[in-house]
Amino acid sequence: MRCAALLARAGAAVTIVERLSAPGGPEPERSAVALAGSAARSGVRLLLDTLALQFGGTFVEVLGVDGVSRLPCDALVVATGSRPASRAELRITGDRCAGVVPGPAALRLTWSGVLLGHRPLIAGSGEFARRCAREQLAAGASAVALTMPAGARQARGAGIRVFAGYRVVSVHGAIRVDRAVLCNEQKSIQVQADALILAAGSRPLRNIEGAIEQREGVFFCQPDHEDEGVRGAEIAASQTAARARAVFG
Amino acid sequence: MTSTHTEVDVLVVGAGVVGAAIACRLSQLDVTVAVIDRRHDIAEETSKSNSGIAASGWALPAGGLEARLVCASSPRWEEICGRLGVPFRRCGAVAIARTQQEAERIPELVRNATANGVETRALTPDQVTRAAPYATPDAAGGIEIPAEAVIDSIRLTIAYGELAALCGVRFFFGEPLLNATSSRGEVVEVRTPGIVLRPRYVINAAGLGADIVSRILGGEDFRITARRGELLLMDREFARRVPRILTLLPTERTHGIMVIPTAHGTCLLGPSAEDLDNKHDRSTSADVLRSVLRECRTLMPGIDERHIIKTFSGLRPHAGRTYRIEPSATVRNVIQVAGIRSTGVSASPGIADYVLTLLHKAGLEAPPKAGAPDSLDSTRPLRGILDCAGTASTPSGRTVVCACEKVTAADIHRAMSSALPARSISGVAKRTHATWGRCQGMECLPDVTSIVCQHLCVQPWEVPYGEPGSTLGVARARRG
Repeated sequence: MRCAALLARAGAAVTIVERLSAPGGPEPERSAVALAGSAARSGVRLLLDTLALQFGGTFVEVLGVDGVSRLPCDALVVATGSRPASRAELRITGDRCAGVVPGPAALRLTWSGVLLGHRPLIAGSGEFARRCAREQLAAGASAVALTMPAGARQARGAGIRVFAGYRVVSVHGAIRVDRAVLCNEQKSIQVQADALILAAGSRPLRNIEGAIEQREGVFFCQPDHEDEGVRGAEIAASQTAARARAVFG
Repeated sequence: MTSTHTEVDVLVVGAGVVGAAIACRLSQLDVTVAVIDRRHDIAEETSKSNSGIAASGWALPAGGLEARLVCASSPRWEEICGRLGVPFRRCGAVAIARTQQEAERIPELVRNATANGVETRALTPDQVTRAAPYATPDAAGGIEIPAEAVIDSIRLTIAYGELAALCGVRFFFGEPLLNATSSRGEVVEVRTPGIVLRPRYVINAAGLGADIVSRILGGEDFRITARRGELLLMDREFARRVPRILTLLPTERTHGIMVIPTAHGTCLLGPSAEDLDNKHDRSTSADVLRSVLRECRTLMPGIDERHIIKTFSGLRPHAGRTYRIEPSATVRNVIQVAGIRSTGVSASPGIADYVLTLLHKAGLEAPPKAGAPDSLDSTRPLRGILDCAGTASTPSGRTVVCACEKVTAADIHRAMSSALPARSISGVAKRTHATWGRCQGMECLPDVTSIVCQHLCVQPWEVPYGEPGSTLGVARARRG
C-alpha cells in the first residue's frame, strides 16, 4: 500500500490486487488502516478478494468474485511479502512423516486450537522463530527446542532450549516426527521432538506466474530480511516506487 | 473387528495403479469386485511417488511381456486420459549419450525400439542441440523419442479407482490381508482385520507386498525388494525451459537419471536407484540428492537449486523376475501380478486387459455391464481450466485456497466427496496438489485442514495427515 500510494502520488494509475477480504495481510499491522486510507486518498484502486494469477507483460490475469479477468498494466509491483524457507530450501532430509509444518501455518493452526507437538522443535533464525517458540509454549507444549544461528539474538524463557549454531539436517519418524538430527560445524546430535516447525530464513513469497523471476515490467517490493518489519517494508516500497518511476517516468 | 462376510467374483489385493487399473477394467463387466489395501487411501505406496512418465517402451527388451504391455498401452493414453480427466502430455524425449562409448550403443537401442514398434531417431551432437537446446553441449549423440509422454500418475490411479467405485467396485482401505483359507487347491476365504471375503478369483497386485500376499494365499514363494528413487521437484519457472524429457541412455539396471517435465507444468529431477531391504524406508539423504543433482547437471547444465520445491523418494518393486503376470501354479484361482517395476503406470491399461484375458481363461464369465459409465465427471479444477481451457470458461465465485497451485475450496470439497474421497490432508494433496506448491502449505495448510475437518467431522488437531496416527496435532491447544 505504501508503494502504491507513492506511485499514485507520482501520477500513475495504480490498482492493488489483494487476495484477502481486507487490506494489511493475514496479520495486519496497526498501520494497515492508515496506509489503506492514504493509498485511497492518493487515488489507488483496491480490489479485494482477488487473486493475481499471472503476469503477461501488458496485463495481469486475476481471479475475483466475478471470475477471471485481465487488468491491463504497464508494470507489476509484487509486494506479496516473504515466507520462511521451505523444508527443501533448508535442505532437511529424512522421512516425510507428519508433524513438519511451515511456521506461518503453524501459528494459524495453533490459534485454531491445534497443539502441534508436546515437544516441538523449531528451525529458526530470527524473531519469527522466537515468536513461534513462545506461541507453542503458550498453547501447551511442555518444552520447545529451537535452533538458531550462532550470532543471532537467542530466545530466553522457561521451557525453551536453544541450540545455538546448529541447523536441522534431517527428521525421522514412521508416522509422525519422533526425532531430528542437528549439526554444527563440529558435530551432529539427535533431539527428540514430535513436531518440526519451519521458521528459518526468509524467502520472497512469489506465486504469480510470469512474475517469479526478474523480467521486464516486474518490480519486486519484498524485504529480504525477516527481521526488517514495517520499517523494512517502507524502505522497500520507497525503493521499488523509485525504480518504477525511473523506468516509466 | 470383523464386520462383513461378502461373496465377490474377483478380489483385487492392492490399490496402486495396477490394482486400480484392473478394478477399473473389471468394473465395466457384470461381475462383483472388491479391492483391499493395507493403506488408508488409494495410490499410497509406489504409485504415489513415481516419475510420472507414460513410457513408449522404446528401451525395453524387445519381445518381453513388459515391452508388449507398455507398447500396447502407449497409443491409448490420449483416449484414456481424456475420458478420465487425467493431465497428460505427449512431450517426447531426448536420450543423451555423454561419451563416445555411450554413443556406440545408439544404433543397438534404435534397433530395439524399432523391434518394439516405437519410432525413434538417432541424433548427432548438433541434432541433439537443436532437439533440446537446454541439454548439455557436450553430448556425443542422442536418440529422439517422440512418443514418450508425461502423465499425472497419482491422478490416473485415483481416476481408475473412482470410475471403478462409480461402477460398483467396493474398496476397503486400511485392510491388510491377514490370512486365507484354501480348499481343493483354491482360496475360498480371505480375512483382513475388518472384513471376510469369499472370492471366486484373487488378483495379487500388492506391489511391494506381493511376495507376502502370495505366501498368505498359498502361492509361489518369490521375493520382492524395494528400489528407492530420490527425486527433486522443480518449480514452473524452471520447467518452462524443459519442454521434453531429457534422459541418459538406459542401462540394463536402470533407466537412469532424467529431467522430466510433469503433466502439471513443474519438473522432476531423478530418480536415483538404490536397493533396500527395508520396504518402508522412503527417507531421503543429502548425499543421494546431491548426486542426483550432479548427474542431472551433466544432462542439463546450470540447474539452479533455488528452483527446488521439494525433495522426496519413492519405492518401486524389484524382483528377480519382472512382470510375473500369470495364474498361480499352486493355487488355481489366484492370478499373480507381481514384479511390476517402474513401468507400472505405463503398462497399466495393457496389464488390466491381459489380466482379464487370464481371468477368462480361468473360467470367469463376464459379459459387459449395461449402463456402466466409462468416463468421469468432466468438472475441471481451476488449475486444469487455466492450463487447458483458457480463462473464458472459468466460473465465478471461486475461493482460492492454495495460491501457489491455484486450488479452490470447490476443488477440495470435490476431492472429499468423490466416489473415492480423500480422507486426509495427504489425500487432498494427492487429488488437488494443495500444499504441494512453492510455499509447501505455508499459506493454505490451515484452510485445507479446516475443510478436511468439516468433511470428516473431527476436531482440527485430530485431522489425519496421512495414515492413521499421523494426526496434524497432538492435542487441543490451551488457548484454542
